[in-house]
Amino acid sequence: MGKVFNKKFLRLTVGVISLSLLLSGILLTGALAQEPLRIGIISPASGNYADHGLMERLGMIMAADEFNAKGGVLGRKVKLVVEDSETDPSVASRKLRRLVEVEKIKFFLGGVSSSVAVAVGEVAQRYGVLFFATNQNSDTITGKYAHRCVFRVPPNMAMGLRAAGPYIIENVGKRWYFMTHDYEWGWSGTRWGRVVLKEQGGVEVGESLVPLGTRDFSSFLLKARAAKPDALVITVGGIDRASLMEQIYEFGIYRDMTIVHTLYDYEDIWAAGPEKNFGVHGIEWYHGIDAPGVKEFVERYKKRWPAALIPVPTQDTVNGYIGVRELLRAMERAGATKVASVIKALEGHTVYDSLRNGPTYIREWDHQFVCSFYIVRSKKPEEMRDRADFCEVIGYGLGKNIARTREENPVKLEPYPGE
Amino acid sequence: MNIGLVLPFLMNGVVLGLIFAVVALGFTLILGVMQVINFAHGALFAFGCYFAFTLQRIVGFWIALLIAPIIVGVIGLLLERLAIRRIYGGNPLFGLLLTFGIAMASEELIRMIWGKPGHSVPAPHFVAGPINLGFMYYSKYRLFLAGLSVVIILIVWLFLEKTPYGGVIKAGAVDSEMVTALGKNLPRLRTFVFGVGAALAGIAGVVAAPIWSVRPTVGTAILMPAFVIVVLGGIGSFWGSVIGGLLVGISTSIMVLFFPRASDIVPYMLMAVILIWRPRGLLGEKSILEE
Repeated sequence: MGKVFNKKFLRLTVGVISLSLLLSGILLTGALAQEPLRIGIISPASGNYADHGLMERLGMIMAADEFNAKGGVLGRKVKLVVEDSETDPSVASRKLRRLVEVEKIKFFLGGVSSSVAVAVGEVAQRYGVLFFATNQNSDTITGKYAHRCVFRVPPNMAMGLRAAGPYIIENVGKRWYFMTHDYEWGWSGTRWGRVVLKEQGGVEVGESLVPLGTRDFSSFLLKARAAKPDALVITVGGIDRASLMEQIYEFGIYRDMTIVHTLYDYEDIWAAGPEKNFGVHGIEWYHGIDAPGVKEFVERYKKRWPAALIPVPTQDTVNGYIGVRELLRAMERAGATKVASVIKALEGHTVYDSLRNGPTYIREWDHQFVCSFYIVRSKKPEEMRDRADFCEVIGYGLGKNIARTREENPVKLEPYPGE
Repeated sequence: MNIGLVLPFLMNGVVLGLIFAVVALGFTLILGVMQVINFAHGALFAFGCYFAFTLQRIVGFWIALLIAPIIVGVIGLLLERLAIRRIYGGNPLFGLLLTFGIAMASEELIRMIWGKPGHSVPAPHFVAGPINLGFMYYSKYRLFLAGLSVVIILIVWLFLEKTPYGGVIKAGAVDSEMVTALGKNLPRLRTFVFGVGAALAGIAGVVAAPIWSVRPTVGTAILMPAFVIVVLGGIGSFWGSVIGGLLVGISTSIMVLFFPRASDIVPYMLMAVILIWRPRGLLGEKSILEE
């Protein structure tokens, strides 16, 4: 027995084992250091909001690339892991769960549809992972369904109607007919439309609830016309909106009343085309606004995506871009990728290069990015300076003036994850 | 509730009903002659929509209107020869499964070729925009569409009533086995009928595309109303499909006036009521399906 396990053999064995451990240790730390920082994107590539999903991803990729050009975040390259939400809350929740449980990703952005964001936000809170709702506008996401682990980048419908509503009352008229997309976001727009209408002494002459996936709006439009409103206040989005815009033109509705979209989305205007573009609208962001950094951003977009579906960045692109950028900046400020630390680094932070008029404030008590909201007028085809120039910017509401107060939005967020 | 309010809804209902009628006609012929519940009918409609979308931009509206249904008809012929004829005489469930599978595969194919997001299809220029009817503005295109659908239905009627082959199809729609006993080539008849049915679905797709816009799911949306119309109108019955289509179209449109959220269940409600009163549908006759 002693002959085999003699001193020389023992020394050799111990030497080999230690060397292997040392080498694995080096390799492992090397691997960890190079392991990319993976960020999950749950964004629609199909369904009603497919083109919105595409535009927001273009912005997100731009931000990730900018960070990677500087060496990444905390020494790690940023990698975006994309899943198709199919504009369906149950599909999105399932995909989020998979990315958390299997891929062990802790940071997410996306959503587009407010229903998807509500569902995904809830799942994120339960898992203690961070979710940035980049393109949803229902007030409930930073209201009734607000969570510690959820932040919302674009302005919400309350802000939108507060900014555009008074202008509409004064310049268009007091009799409003609502067209409400029959889901979370649509209800939110009409809800705040009613609040502003009451505050400004206007009158509601009717409402049509339009199911998601409606192809034929003629009946709803005919009903609206019969009520003789001054303004047709529309909160309908996605490809449904493009069909609605077509049919407003088809039935000559624009002749009888002013068309008002509470949240005009560039993707939908692009799909409908210049001949179907009528009215005065609220819009989150427009590539023609006169704000610092916007022209450069538009140029960078055009250079990066010369063959993109839409030749200019849309509000979804900017929100995707700012979402990823601020998330990564917060990680750098926190010096860590622990979810609770990143949340704390975001809360209360002011973004000065907001690509809007006025800074954007990341509010700590409801996690809303408090930023400006714009009012635009549809240009006639002959007024357009180029094929992307659909609107004229009339004005804007500054974030702090239009955001809900604490009394209006009594939100209580959960404790930080892991505490 | 005055007539000025209801009239445009009625007109919408008629337009909707006529499109439904054209789709249902194709469905009922296939069901009657071949006893196949063609769940791929919606997909054929979708192909019509998408071919219209692509072709209109290249060759204009009228040529697209001519070519697209022919292409869809040919697809129908191929489907029948390669797949559908294998399940004749067997368990009707096989036909259902097969055509359902074809429908799903077609939807995916559409996604692959034309992409996942939907597209809006502009109406042809000569009928775009509103028309002033004096007491109200209505859609030029929808009036045009109604006229076109009536012409299509008339052509189908003329074919079935006034041509000898049409007579054979009519007979086959009620009792296809008897048709063989009378010496007609049944397999060829079936292939032809499937092609015609597909072409009808295709042409309905072409004319409906501008008002419904195209998206990959447009086929599934038309399938159930078409099926319901065929059942409540009477399987294999020409006028059953036309009247059934108009009935469903008008009621759905009027329902939007009163209770929009319920408008989607109108076809089923109608079907239930009619079947209780007349179990074979409005104009149905005892058909081979009852055996």
